[in-house]
Amino acid sequence: MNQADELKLIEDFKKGNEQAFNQLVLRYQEKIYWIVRRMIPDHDEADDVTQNVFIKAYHSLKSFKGDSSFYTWIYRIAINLSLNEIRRKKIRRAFSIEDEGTPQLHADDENPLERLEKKELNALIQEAINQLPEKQKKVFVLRYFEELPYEEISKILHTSVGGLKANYFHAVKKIGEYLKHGT
Amino acid sequence: MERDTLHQLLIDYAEGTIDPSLRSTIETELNKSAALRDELAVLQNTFAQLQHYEANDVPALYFTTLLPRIRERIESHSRWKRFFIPQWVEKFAAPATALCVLMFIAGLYTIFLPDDTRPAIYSVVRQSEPEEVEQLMIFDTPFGSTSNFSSTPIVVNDNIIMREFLMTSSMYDNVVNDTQILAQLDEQEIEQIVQQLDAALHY
Repeated sequence: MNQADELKLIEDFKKGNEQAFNQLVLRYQEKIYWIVRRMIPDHDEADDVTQNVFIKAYHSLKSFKGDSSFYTWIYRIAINLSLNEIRRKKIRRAFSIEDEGTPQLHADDENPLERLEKKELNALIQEAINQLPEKQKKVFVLRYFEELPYEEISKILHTSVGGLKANYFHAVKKIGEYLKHGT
Repeated sequence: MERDTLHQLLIDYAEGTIDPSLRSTIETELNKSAALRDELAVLQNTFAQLQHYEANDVPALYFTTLLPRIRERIESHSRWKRFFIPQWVEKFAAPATALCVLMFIAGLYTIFLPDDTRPAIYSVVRQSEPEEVEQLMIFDTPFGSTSNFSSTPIVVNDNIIMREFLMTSSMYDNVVNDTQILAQLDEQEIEQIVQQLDAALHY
């Protein structure tokens, strides 16, 4: 599906064709889920935010003018809603002692020790990403996991390419330091 | 070369996405600086470790059931809206809200504005000059005599308040202080007092 097809779907949706919206969801659901999930590690919370992204898109799509591409627009919604959820969580955590959970071991044919090590590394990387400042986290997720060109990220986050590169540099460096020292 | 620019080149270099025309620039800088080489090593190690990062698990059929669940939430929201909020209400919601806000502001204005345009107590008498405080003297007004007045008038916010004059006014026996008396006076009466004050002060 190219950009022209997407615009056609958006126009159809604006005219009342609900199926057109479903097509857009199917096209973007995985991408959006993974952007959200990289920022919010818990699946249930990421699922909730992902649904909210599409519901917000559903209600706002009528005012979408096509100044930017649809994916830039919906990625921006995903990033913003994820950050809102992270902020809400921080506030909740400040007022309560929340169980962060511990990695669970799965029984399968992989060596349990290897699995544990892998799980630990995964958890550590996730922690390292979580501790990044908001701006660096957004840039890191879009650049490293989504592999978006800086020009596209620039459109989503309204930041200069130079600024994005500087943020990405600091994000990677901080993750590296976290993995090395655990803080 | 500025540090920010170096960082931008370094991250491109570590990623392997550096513009070929800039490769020699960053390599020259790397040869010159051990600190920069350390930073590059951190970036490269981090990228190497990140390769071991595995995507978290997603429940089976998650993406198959996502769309129906989104649709369900959209539909239930629309049903709720249709049930509680008729479409015509929705249409007029924005202008009605704006009107309510305006009415609220107007209400606040009415509440906090005095009932009439009578000046506030401290504007009853005009602003005093420092030497006037010394010059004030006893005088009569149609609303009471200050003949037994002998103490110094008080000055509040640079306004002269004739506390004793008002306290001794026989016309207002039912009031206990100057604020309440002044509140009962109308504009004309206040003006007369001001004139009396002016006359007493030889204006």
